[in-house]
Amino acid sequence: MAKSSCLWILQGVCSTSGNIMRMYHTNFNMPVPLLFNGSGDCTSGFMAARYVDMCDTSHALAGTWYPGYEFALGDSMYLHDGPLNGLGCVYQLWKVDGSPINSFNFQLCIDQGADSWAMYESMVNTGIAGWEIDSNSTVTFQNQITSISGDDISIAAKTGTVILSNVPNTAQCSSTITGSIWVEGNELAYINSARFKHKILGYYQITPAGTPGSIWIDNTHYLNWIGADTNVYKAPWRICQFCSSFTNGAPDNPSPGAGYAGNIWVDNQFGCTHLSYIGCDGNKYLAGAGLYPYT
Amino acid sequence: MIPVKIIMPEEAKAKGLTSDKKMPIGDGIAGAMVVMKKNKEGPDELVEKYVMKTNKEMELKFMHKDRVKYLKRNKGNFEKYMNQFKTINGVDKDKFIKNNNLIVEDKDIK
Repeated sequence: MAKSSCLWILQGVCSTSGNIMRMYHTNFNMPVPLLFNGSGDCTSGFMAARYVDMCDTSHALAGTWYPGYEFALGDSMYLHDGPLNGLGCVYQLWKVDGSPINSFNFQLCIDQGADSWAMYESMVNTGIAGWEIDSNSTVTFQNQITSISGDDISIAAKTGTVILSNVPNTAQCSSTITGSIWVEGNELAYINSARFKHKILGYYQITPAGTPGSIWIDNTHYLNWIGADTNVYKAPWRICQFCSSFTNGAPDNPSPGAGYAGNIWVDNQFGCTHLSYIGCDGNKYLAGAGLYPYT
Repeated sequence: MIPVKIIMPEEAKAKGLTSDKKMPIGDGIAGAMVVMKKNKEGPDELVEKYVMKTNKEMELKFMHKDRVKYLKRNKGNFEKYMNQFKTINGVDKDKFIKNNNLIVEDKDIK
């Protein structure tokens, strides 16, 4: 009847079926591929790879960190060896300087005979915002299981720590300017639905004859614009929206048709920090500041 | 090349371009559980795999026929666990439990 747990604070994960999700320095809560769709290889859990365990490290968020960016993924794994038959509550908790800010709790039923064992893994992410991490701090991720009924399936709390400095100001803009998009210098700036100002640092393309401030979508569905220096810049990433819920639920890939091509807006889906637009193929695309979440 | 037309969030909703469906489970990324049958002769056998897609929806990837029988006798815990979910494998939870004959006599745990 052995019980144990593992804990990581990660920059990203890769499922055994090849789906990759980066959390570190990306937009809030982008759609997540089927991370738990891997094989039954339990020697390393459900993830083929865990990118960069940040436990017990220090990070200076200087330069290119803005509110609305994810910081890390807390990853918990629990192992119960039968015979065990009990109900418990899993607690996964992010804390800033000891105060809880973000949690994911649920019941877990362990119901194993003497001839079997069970392993459970789940994750909860956190990022830079007034309601999550908003100051230089010691950030901790904690997991534990408490017993509710039946056999005692509780597992003692385990904690990982990260020390942060240069955490950016997380003040939000006025709601009256949500959805504004403009070219600022050579970057594409916008106010997202979370009311944060984000800027996309584009890739330099060519020197055109064009008007600074022009914005368009090319035939490969990337955002382009002309900077103040009259050069063309291209957004570093975009993705065709592949699901409508965070955990890849029932497919609802918005494809309104090419008649809507060019429409661009900010919406409240996912983490409210991305840009949404319709490409020339009639599909909805997501783009944003920060790093590409699916590398 | 398509010039963009900037529209406000309300217009995007009116056009049906977004459902405004927010992430359903806070900042949690669901989870998964596997149950392995111990095998002294070789690798353990995968018996079943649960994927908690959200806190309202569960996916059951496998279910061993012996496992169904085993769950039957644990009504207390199993019902409490299942009460969290509205659907299992996309099927209404109550229908799924009924179709798989998972609710039986009212026995105490153990």
